[in-house]
Amino acid sequence: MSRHAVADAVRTQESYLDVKGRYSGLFGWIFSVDHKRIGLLYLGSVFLFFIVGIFLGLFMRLEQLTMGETLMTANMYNRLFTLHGVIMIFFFIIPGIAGTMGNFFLPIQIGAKDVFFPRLNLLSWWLYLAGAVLALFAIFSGEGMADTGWTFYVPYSVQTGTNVTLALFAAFILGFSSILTGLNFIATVHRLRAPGMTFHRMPLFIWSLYSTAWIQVLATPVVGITLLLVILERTLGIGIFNPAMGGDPILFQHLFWIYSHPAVYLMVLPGMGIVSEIIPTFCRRIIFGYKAIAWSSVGIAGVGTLVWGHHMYVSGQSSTASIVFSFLTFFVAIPTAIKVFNWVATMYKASIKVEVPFLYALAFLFHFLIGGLTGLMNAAISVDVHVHDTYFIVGHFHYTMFGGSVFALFGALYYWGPKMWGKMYHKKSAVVALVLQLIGFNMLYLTMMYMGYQGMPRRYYDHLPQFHDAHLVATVGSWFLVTGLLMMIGTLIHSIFKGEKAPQNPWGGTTLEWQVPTPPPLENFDVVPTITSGPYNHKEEAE
Amino acid sequence: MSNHAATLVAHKHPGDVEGVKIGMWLFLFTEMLLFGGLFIAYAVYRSIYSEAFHTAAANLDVTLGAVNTIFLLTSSLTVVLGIVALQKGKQKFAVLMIWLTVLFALGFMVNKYFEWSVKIHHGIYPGSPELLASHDKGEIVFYNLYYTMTGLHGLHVIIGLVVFFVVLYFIKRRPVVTEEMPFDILKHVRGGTRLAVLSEKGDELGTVAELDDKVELVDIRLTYEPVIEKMDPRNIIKLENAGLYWHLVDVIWIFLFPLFYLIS
Amino acid sequence: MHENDHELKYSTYIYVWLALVVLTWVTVFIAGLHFGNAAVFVALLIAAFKSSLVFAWFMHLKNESGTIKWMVATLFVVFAIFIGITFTDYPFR
Repeated sequence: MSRHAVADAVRTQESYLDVKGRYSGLFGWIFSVDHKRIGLLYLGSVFLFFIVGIFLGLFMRLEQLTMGETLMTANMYNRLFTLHGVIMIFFFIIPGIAGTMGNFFLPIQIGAKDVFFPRLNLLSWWLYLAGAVLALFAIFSGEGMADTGWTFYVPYSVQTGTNVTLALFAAFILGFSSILTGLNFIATVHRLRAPGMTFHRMPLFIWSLYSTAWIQVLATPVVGITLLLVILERTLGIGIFNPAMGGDPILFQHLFWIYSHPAVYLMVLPGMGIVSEIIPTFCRRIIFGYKAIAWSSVGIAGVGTLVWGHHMYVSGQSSTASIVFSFLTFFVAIPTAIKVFNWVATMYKASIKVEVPFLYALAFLFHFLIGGLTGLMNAAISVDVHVHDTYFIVGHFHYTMFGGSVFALFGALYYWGPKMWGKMYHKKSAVVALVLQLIGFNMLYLTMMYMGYQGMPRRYYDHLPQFHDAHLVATVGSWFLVTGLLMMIGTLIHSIFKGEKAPQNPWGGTTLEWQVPTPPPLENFDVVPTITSGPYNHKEEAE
Repeated sequence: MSNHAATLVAHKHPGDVEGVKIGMWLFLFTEMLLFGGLFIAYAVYRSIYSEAFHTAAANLDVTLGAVNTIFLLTSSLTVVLGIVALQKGKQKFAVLMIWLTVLFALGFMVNKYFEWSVKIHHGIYPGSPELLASHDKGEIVFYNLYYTMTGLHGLHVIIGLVVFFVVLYFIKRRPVVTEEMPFDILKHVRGGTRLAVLSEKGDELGTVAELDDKVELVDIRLTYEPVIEKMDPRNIIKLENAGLYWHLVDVIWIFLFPLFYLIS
Repeated sequence: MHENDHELKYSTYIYVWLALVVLTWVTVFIAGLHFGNAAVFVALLIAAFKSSLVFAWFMHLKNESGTIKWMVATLFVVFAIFIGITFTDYPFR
C-alpha cells in the first residue's frame, strides 16, 4: 500500500472496497491485511465449502429415499458422511462466524482500526486455504477420502486404507489457523479498545468472540496433538492408542473431546453474540441483563471445558466418570438459559420492528430451544445410552449448530451485509427463502429426532421398513431446505451486485459499526471515538 | 497526516510491547497444551502401568539426561544474559551469548542423537519386533511415549535453533546509510576539491577522496554500528520473544527429565 | 524502553541458574535413594519449583502486567482441570 493511496483514502473516507493498494484485482484481496477484506475472504471461502457440504448432505438424504442401494454403495455413503462432517465442522462452522463477521466487526465494534496482528490475520486465512488444498488432495489421491466419520475414532482410523493421514493433517493445519484467529482477537480486545470502551461497555458480540477465542487458544492444541498421534501411529507405528501395544483407545476419545466438546460452544457462542446484537436493535431498547449475558458467555466457555465425557457414556469409561460428566453437563444449561430468558425479556413489551435479521434471530431461538432441551435429555446417562449413535443425536446436533449457530450467521448476513458491501437485499425473496428453510429444516431434523428415538442408527446407508415413511418426510424436507438455502445465497449475491445503496444506519443500531460510513473506510474511523456509555443506548430514540 | 496513516498500515503498533507480549504468551499457551495432551497421556498410562514404567526407565541413562538438563538450563541463562546485554547496548556480548545458546542447544541434540542411536541399536524403537516380543505392554507404552515426547521436544529445540539464527541475522545486520549528492551541488566545487570527514567540532578526521573534474556524482556511504540509542528496539523484542520460546522448551524438559529418567 | 526501569544485572540471573543446577543435582540425588512411588511426587515437586523459577525470572513473569499473570494462571487451572477430570475415569474402571 503506497503512502499516498493510504493518506488519500483516510482523508476522503473512501470505502475499503475502492481503495487502490499496492496490488489490484485478486491480489489486492488475497494479500490484503485489512481486517474487512480478510473477513470477506473468509466469507467467500466458508460459503464455498458450505455449498459443497449442503450437496453432500442432500446426496445422503437421496440415498435414504428408498430402501436398499439407491444412489451409492455403503462404502461411498461412509465417505460422504465423513466428508460432510469434516467440511461442515472444520471448514465451515468453526471459522464460519469468527473468521467472517468476527474479523469484519470486532475491530469496528471496539473502535479500533484493525486487529492487533494484521499480518497474522492474513496468515490464518492462508493456512485455512492450505488446509483446504490438503483436504482436496486427501479426497482425490490414493485410496480417497477417509471413511471414519469426522470424529476419526481409533482403532478404525488407524486401520482403514483411506487417506486418513492427509485428512488429519488438513484438520491440524485448520486448527492452527483457528488458533491464530483466537490469539489475535484476545490481543485486540485487550489492547485496542477505544478510549472509554471498558469491558462492560463492549457489545455482546465481542464478549462472545472473546470467550470463543479463549476456547480456540486453550482447547485446539489438545486435539492437534491427538490428531498428530494418530498420524504417528499410521506412519511410524507409535501405537499410543493401540491396545496391542498397551495403549487405550478410549484415551483418544478423551483427548479428542477435550477439544471437540468445547468446540461446539466455540461454534455456537458467536451465534449467540449475533442474536444479542440483533434483538436490542430491532426492539429499540437496551438489552435486558447486559452483564448477565456477557458473563454467561464466559460461563458457557468455562463450564463447556468440563463436560467432554458426556460423549463417552457408552465407550467403556468408568461409571464414576459418566456420573461426574453428566452432573457437570447439566450446569451448561444455566448460563444458556440466562441468555434465552434475557433475550425474551428484552422483547417483552418492546416496540419491535420486524425485519429479516430479527426473523432469523427468532428462528435461532426456536431451534436452539429444541436443540438445547434435547441436549439436556442427552446429558442424562439413562436417556443417552438409549439414543446414543442414533438419528436423535444427529437431529439434536443439527438443531443447535445448524438451526442455532448457522441461522444466526444467516441473520448476521442480512443484518451486517448492508454495512459490509453497502447494498440492501430484496426483502420479499429473503422472507420466502427463510420460510422455505424453516419448513425444510424442521421437516428434516424433527423427523430425524423422532426416528432416532425409535432406534434408527446414524451412519447407516440403509434403513428398515418401519422407518421408511419418516425417511421419506425427511428427504422431502431436505429439498425444501436446500431450495431455501440456495434462494438465500442467490438473494445475497443479488444484493451485492444489484441491490439498492444502503444507508449508513439502516436498522437504527447503536453500536459503533453504525456510526462509520457504509461501506466503512480503510481504517474505519477518521477520529477514534471516545466511548461514554454502554453499547445499546436506545434512550434518545425512545423518548 | 499522511505519515501517520502510512506507518499505521506498514506496522500497526510498533510501540505496544504489552500487546506483542500477550500474543507471544498466548502462543506459548498453545505449545504448553500441545505437550499437555501428551502429559495427560503419560499420567494416564503411568497410573495404569506404574511397575512397568519403573522397569523401563531403568534402561535410560540418568547421566546423559542430567547433562542435557544442565545444557538446556545453561542455554536459558545465556539467552537472558543476551537480552540484558542488548538492553545495555552491548551488542557484541549479546551476539556471543546467542552463539553460546546455539552451541548448548547443538550439544543437547548431539547427546540426544547418541542416546537414541544406542536405544535403536538395542532394538528399542517404536514397532520394533524385539520391543514387541520381549517387553510387556507397559514398557512398550513407556518407550512409545518416550520417543514421542522427547522427539517432539527435540523438534522444538531445532525450531528454537532456527529462530536464534533469524534473530542473530537481525541483530548483526548493521544499518548502512547511502546518500547520493545531487549533481548540481557538485557544480561549484569542481577541480581539486577534497572530500573529508569532520568531527562535530570541525576537526578533520580524515580525507576520503580527492575530487577532479571527471566526478559527476558522489555516493556517501555511512556505515555505523548500532549503539543503544540507534538500536532498533524491535530487535530486543525479537530476542525476548525468542527467549520466551526457548525457556518454554527448557521448562518442558525440566518435566520430561524426572518423568522419564528418574522413576526407576 | 520500559525494561530499563528494572534491574539490568547479570548477577541475578546467574544466581537463578545456580539454584536450578543445584536443584537438578538434588532431584537426581533423591531419585537414587529409591523412595518408590513417593520419589515421583518429590521429583515433580522439584520440577514444578524449577519451572516456576524459570517462569518468574528467566521469562520475566514477575515483572509482567496483571493481565499476563492471570492469563498464565488461567492456563494452569485449565490444564489441572483437564488432568483432574480425566482421572475421574481411569482409577475407577
